[in-house]
Amino acid sequence: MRVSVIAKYLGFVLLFNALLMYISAVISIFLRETSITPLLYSAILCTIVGVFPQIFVEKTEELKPHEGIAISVLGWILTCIVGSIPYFMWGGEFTLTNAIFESTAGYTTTGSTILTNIEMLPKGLLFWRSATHFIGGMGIILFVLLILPNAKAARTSIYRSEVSGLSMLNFQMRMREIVRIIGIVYASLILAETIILWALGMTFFDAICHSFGTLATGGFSTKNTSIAFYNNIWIEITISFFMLLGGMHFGLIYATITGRKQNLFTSDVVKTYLAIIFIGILFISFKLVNDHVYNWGEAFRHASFQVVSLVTTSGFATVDTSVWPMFTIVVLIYFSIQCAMIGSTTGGLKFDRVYLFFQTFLKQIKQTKHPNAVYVLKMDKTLISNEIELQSMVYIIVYLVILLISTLALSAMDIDLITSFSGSVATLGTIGPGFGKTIGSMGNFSTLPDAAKYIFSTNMLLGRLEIMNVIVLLVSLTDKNK
Amino acid sequence: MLKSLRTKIFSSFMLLVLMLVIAGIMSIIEFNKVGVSIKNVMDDNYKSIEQTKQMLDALEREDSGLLMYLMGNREMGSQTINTAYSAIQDAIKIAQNNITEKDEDKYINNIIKKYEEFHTSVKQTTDTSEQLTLEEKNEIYLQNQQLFFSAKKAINELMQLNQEGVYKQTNTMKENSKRAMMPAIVSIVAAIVFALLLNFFISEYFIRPINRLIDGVKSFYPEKGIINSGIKSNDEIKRLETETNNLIGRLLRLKNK
Repeated sequence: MRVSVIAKYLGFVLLFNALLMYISAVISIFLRETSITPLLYSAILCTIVGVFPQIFVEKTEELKPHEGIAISVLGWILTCIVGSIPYFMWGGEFTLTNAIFESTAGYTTTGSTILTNIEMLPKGLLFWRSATHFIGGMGIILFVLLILPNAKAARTSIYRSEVSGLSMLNFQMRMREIVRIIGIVYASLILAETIILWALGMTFFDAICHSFGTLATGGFSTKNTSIAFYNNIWIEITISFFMLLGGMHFGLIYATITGRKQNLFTSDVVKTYLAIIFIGILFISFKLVNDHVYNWGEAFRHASFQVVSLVTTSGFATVDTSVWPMFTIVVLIYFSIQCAMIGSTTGGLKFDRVYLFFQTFLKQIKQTKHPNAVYVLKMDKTLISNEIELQSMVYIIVYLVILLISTLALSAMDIDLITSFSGSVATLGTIGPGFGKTIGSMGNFSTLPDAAKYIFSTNMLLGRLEIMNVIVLLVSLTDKNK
Repeated sequence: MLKSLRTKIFSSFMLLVLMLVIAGIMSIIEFNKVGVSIKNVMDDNYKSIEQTKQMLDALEREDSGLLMYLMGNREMGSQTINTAYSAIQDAIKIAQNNITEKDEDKYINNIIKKYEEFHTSVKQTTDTSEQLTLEEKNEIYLQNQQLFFSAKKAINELMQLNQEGVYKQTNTMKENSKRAMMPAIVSIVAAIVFALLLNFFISEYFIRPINRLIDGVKSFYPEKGIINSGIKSNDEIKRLETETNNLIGRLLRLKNK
């Protein structure tokens, strides 16, 4: 593995982070806030350290696959660390652990927070917090690929390590084109949502921050009570709609807009995904009405928002779900594990894999009945190779094993089961809030021990990097025959 | 990409220097903010607290003056009341010119109002006390006490406001001093990382090629013709390899002649 080449690409990652830090610093300078020095100095530091490898390392187009994986994994880890510098330097509630937690929650678009009073943060720092969602939503590495000139082969290698094979099914075009499409769809949706939220009465600042949080399916809000602060059904509908879009395959959104044959309306996966969400909303609404928590209108409104928020791994809240009946919590936990579609900005297990799992299950039943028959798996008329099928099954198992290990480790710290389990689900699935009084939709992670925060941060990174890349990198580093 | 070794090393050190200089400037700016916070506490809030203490002291003296007056020591009582009145007026003027907290002017106006009510009552009492019996004097004194406590409460509220201001400023100072240290702390960590990176790059781009060149020279034999140490960069070391090969070529040609 060529360390110097990896350092060169990590330098680009730092430079891209610096760009958004400068923008946040400008907001702070304009408003004469206390976050000028933390943001400006962090930006300058990132620029200097980012430029440094460019002085030495020659331009490289060829990258080996494990170098691509190393750039992807180390890029994310480095980004989470440098992203914590502005928080740590600003102080307040941000200790080093808290700063790293908040930064990781931002970049991985988890949206969990350690802040008890978000509104006291300077605007520049609030913008930086939301900007980490913006960067993380599309993926810092993809951003770098988008702006990196003349990388060709290197671009392909890095892209393959950043995006799973399954998510490439709906992209039948060249790598450069795919990255460009993701960028265009992402930026256009953010712009559209910002304008709508602004028109609905949010300030422009809040509108852009919430748009970053929505399309990146992150969930950082500029208000202590999240979306409940606005108590505006139109804002809730808008955010729900864009959360749903953020949870869809960007290739399919692009195909729908450009009028291609295979699009959101013709996809069986999308139809099943939406149908399951609708059934979930109905179940929760019925239970809420039956238990006299809300009337039908209120129940449907809050159930819809919460289900969409959790299934798309956003984590915005309009109510405190910790007071809801246990049945509704169980349904919400299912959606927190299932999550949204591959090829979107969401994290977690992803619906496509769950869909594939059930198809494989049915295939196995048929195969047992007719051992000599040949069955093939298809998703949206695309043939699924045995390799992808196996990758998905392994991923599901590894995901559940990590979930179990994380819950066990947290329980060992005397953290109650609901917090340990739901926290692990919420962070591994990059959702944000868990369940229960402590880390519920209106709670935060501030009171948990530092060790627990590091476990949660690791979960977030594993969830965002889709686990396997991290394992491959670790194996590459320890393999003597590499 | 820079080609010359000299430029590469110079640029690296310049980046390190730049990082440290900027950290220094940022720290100075933040320490300057700490200085401003201290000035705010010392000059503004502390001055206001001092004036409220003066007001309280003068108010109590005026109350004592009234008591003296009613007890028959009229000259001394009258003098004490007048001195206290002047002291309060002076303190109020200073406080009015030293507004530092939000709504502080409203608190001062409240003091003026409450004190005027008390002072007017004191004046009325002293003007009419000659015709009053001891019981009536006692009753009037008790009524004045209500106004006295009301004025005292207004002054205490102003004092509390400024004390809270001091607390806030102290907290700001604490945060600012922490922030002032942060660029230095972060720079120390960054400088260590930077030094490790520099060490890596120097070893990768300077030491290793030189070692390769040494190995190439060591393993050279005339039949090989040239030294190929696999240096890919386009810097002085590559030029050294080229020039060494030229020298070998010239020597071989000389030998063959």
